[in-house]
Amino acid sequence: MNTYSDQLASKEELRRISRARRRAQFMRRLPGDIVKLAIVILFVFPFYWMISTAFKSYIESIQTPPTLWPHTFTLENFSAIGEMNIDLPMYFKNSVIITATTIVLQLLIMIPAAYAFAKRDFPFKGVLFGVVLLAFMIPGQLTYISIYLMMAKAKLLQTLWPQILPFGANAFGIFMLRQSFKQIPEEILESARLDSASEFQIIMRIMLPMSKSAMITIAMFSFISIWNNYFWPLVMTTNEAVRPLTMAIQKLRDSGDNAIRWNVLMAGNVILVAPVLVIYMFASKKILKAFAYNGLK
Amino acid sequence: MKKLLSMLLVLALAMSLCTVASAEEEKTIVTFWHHASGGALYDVVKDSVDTFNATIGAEKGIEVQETYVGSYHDILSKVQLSVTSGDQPTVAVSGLFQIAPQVEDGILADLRPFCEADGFDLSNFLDCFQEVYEADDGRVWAFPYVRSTPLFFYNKTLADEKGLTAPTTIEEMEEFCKAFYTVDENGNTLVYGLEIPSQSFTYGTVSPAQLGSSYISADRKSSPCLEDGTLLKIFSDYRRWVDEGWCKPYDAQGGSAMMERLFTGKLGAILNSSGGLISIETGMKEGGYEMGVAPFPYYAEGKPFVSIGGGSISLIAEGNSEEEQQAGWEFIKFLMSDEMIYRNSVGTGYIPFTKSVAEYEPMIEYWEEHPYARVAYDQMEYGEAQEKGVIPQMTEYMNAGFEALDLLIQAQTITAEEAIEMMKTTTAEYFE
Repeated sequence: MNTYSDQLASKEELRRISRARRRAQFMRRLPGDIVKLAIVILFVFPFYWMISTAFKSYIESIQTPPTLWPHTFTLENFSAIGEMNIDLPMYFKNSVIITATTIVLQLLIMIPAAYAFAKRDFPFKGVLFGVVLLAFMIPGQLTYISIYLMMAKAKLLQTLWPQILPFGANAFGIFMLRQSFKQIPEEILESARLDSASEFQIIMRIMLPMSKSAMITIAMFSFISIWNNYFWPLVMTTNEAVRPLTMAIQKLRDSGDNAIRWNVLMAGNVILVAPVLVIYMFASKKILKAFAYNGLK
Repeated sequence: MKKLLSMLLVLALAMSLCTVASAEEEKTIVTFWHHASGGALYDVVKDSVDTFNATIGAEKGIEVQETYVGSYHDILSKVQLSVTSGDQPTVAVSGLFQIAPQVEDGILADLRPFCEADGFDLSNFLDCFQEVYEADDGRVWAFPYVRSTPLFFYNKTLADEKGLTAPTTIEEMEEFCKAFYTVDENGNTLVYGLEIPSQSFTYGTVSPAQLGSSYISADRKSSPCLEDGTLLKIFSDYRRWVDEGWCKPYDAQGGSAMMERLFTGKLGAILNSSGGLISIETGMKEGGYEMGVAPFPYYAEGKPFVSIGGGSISLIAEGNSEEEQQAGWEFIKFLMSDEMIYRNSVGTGYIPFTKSVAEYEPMIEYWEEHPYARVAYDQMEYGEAQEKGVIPQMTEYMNAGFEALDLLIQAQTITAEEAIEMMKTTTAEYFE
């Protein structure tokens, strides 16, 4: 028969074993955690650097060794941007219109295309899908001259359309959404058809709700790539009135002959990146889910 | 409600798209393509455009719309592309070697008839710009616009502390810069004496003409400086300065890191374009130092000589109506006024390139208050425009020099002799 002190001893023993297990587990995970932490720092540090530099004076932003945190915290860099000869609201408005319209256009084209490639049979389906993948691989630098000439012929160069129409068909989005649609069991679609659902209803009521994560991910990627696009607006526009925010940030970069004002430039980048970060914060869970669901994680 | 909101959103987007480039009123639009992406130069460009639109433009029904297009090379490519698409500018800035291809393509308008009609005096341009813009047949394809010249900038505060006087010759410059050079007990450099921003700058400015030679011979059939040892001397000296430690080789980051060293007292002097004068003055002031400016040094055994770089401005004929060309000319003429040249120079440091501006009252007053701002203008007396005496493959010829300098100064994998041999081999075909 156990005495009270025996019971205490065995409890103490259990605690000791548990502690030893936890320690062993901790030690086992430690190298992996260190690597993960290093990767997180690697990715987060540039953002941290951008934000901290945005609040430094010019001299502090260029001094060596650099300061990790602003010694003299200032908001002057943001007010300096406001005082420059740059119509920031106009560029911002253009960026919003270009990005929103392109994403809407992409969704309108991408959803039916992905549905057809995933769930319908038609002649030359494989070849046509190959064409989509080909479009995915051709960089804009190869196509911009012919597109520029097309847009000039259509008298669209003085509008926002040259920055929207060429991106209307998102090859990567079609590919990714097709993969997501393919994972939806055929039986669900068959039972919907038995209930007299049209193809449109199947897309709207079954495919899209079940692929919400993939949709948000694609939209997010599109948003980032269109919002941050610099090359395309530079070569495709000849009028400041139709240029996006990235072109305004470029003006901050060359704020002196050979002397980049890093603090002002980083303040501009904070303005540029802020919408992306805000949207990412709302969409991050869906993005992770989409990659997990598609087996890409 | 959701549907209503969606419809409103779509409607708003559609309306925005339609109205972004709304039809202009009954005005002649002058599209002005330039390379000023930001900073002091962009402020000057914007100021010129706004002032023109508010004055002459308003009076004559002309509106200038400025657009940053990219580097000089980007502007050339885009102008050539735009004339085929019919979306060409009316007025464009061009680099030194970008005028000739546009003349060959028949893109540019001859400015002489406009000058004659308006009594515009071409001889008012400084002597160093005479014969540069006029073709042999008398046609005028461009005007000077953002012309710059290399200057010797230094940290006057540190120089005064050391009792140094600004140098005039290359030999004096060596001694002057060596005086700044400081290393710690471990041999790490604390303060460099001199830095030159890039291979292009070195190559374009430290000219063999100071030693009586030239890059291209008068008959365009040879490159004398590669044969007579003058470029070898220039390259050897530069490498020696770097080897001695007091001269920092240019780095891959371009001139930005160099400026940062100058502004924070880690560098004594630089050779840089006059176009950066205002930025340098501002940066040094923020760093707590006073800027000193001296004329570009020359070899004592040679003669004072300085090259003139920068950009020009042209009127595009191809695709533009006579009315548009006339409107473009009005804008160019406006930029050539004493007031605008003065504002351009004061705002950036670019050369005020006319004779009359030296008698313009605000310019005189500015020079009196800021004597260093006059250095660039004064050294035009012995300046020569870089586009004088060039061959059609001048860009390729220059690139051969850049590559050689990269290996000599940055990578330090070849000697000065090998750099010259490399250039000879690469450029031989241009003189066959």
